[in-house]
Amino acid sequence: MGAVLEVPIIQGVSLFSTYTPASIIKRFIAYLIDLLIFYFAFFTPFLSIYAFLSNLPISSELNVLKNYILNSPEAYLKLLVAYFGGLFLLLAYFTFFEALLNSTLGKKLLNLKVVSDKSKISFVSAIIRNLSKSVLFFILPYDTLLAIFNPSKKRFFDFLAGTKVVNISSVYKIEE
Amino acid sequence: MDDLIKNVSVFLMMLLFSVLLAIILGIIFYSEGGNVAQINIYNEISSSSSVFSGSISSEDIINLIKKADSDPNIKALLISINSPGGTFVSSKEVVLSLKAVKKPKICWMHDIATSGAYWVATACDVIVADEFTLTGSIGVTGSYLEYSKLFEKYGITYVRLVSGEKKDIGSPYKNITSSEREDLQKLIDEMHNYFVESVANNRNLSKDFVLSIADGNFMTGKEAYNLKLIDYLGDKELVYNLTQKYANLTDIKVVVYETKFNWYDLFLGTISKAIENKLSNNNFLIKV
Repeated sequence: MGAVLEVPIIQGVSLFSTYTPASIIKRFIAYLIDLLIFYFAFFTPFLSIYAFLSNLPISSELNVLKNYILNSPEAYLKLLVAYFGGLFLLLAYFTFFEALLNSTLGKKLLNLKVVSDKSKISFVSAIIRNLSKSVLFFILPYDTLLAIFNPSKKRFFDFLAGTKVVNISSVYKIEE
Repeated sequence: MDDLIKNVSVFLMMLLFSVLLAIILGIIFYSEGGNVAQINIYNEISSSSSVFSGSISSEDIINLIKKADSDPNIKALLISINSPGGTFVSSKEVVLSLKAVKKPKICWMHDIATSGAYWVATACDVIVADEFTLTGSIGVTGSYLEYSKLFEKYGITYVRLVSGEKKDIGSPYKNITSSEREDLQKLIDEMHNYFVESVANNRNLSKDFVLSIADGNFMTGKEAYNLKLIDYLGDKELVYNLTQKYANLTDIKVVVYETKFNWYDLFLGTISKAIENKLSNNNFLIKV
């Protein structure tokens, strides 16, 4: 909490950015937006190219897909690779954006930012904080539960990474 | 401006990463498609397919058959059936398309392969079913709902404007006349005759024999086996062994041939078909 950045605009006026812990709901909406962006912008091209090159027919019907998997162990392996490849890519999406821009596209839309307890968010801490949002997605609900009952709104993986998600609010202050 | 350039740069970097990962994984896990094409007929066979109405179009099936036939890597076709039948013409189209294929064709029946679906199966070289698979039901139906009495009750009148006396034959909004009934029955009998003849030819059975059992009733796989309507009673293992034997392959690798996913069909196509069906004056459809 509090002003962390002071940028002089004109003589006597400064722009302050204040950071307050972001609410879980806002973060969840940002996460959903990110998932949508990820699905259409990155996962779909990934899957299309992978399926084309690996000779994996993408199914439109579940029973057809099930039958294909049952009939071909190779297809099962290919699908598993697509599945884990997709999760890895999701991790990469969050990591790249947060490590390089301190925010994902979803977070940017909602004026959220990831800040590190130290000076700058590193690739390693970006990977750690996003594990439960991608490859370890099955523990995300428990991870989120911790954030709900925590004043700093930090998930368990935020604690591990030494990061937190904050609201960015800009205020102008006239100097006396 | 700097911020925008930064955002776009990271976005493009991520996109490049996705493409590179896809290329690397795609190359690593590439494998030949397979030597046996499995074509699934898991819904009612009709002239148009719909995800919601649960039907598969004859055109889609035929395209898959042609695709498998023209693929030099494919040595045999495995027709996997779980369908109650379909419309007469659609079923016939699939039968003719399968008959034109020179590669070995093995049919695998699951829970149900009756009527038109059984007809399709007869176009294969071998038919395998479970002893409790429902099959047979050789017959034709043109039954339909007629709403004229319901309309009468609610004071709705069918304004009949036709250029010929039988132009609206089969319309659900009016009573069928005896002459119309006769015409339709004649058509159904003609189709039934064609169906029976085709089954007899495909299965190397006498027409009289097929006619004697073509009362429209279903039968179990076991009964069908005793009547020589199918060749084997068995499961997937037997199906694969037979495919291997008929295609003269040392090892079989089954690949499922399927129709491409189509967003238009899923949304707009389904809606337009539903509207088309609702507006259609004639719901008369002959099914096998």
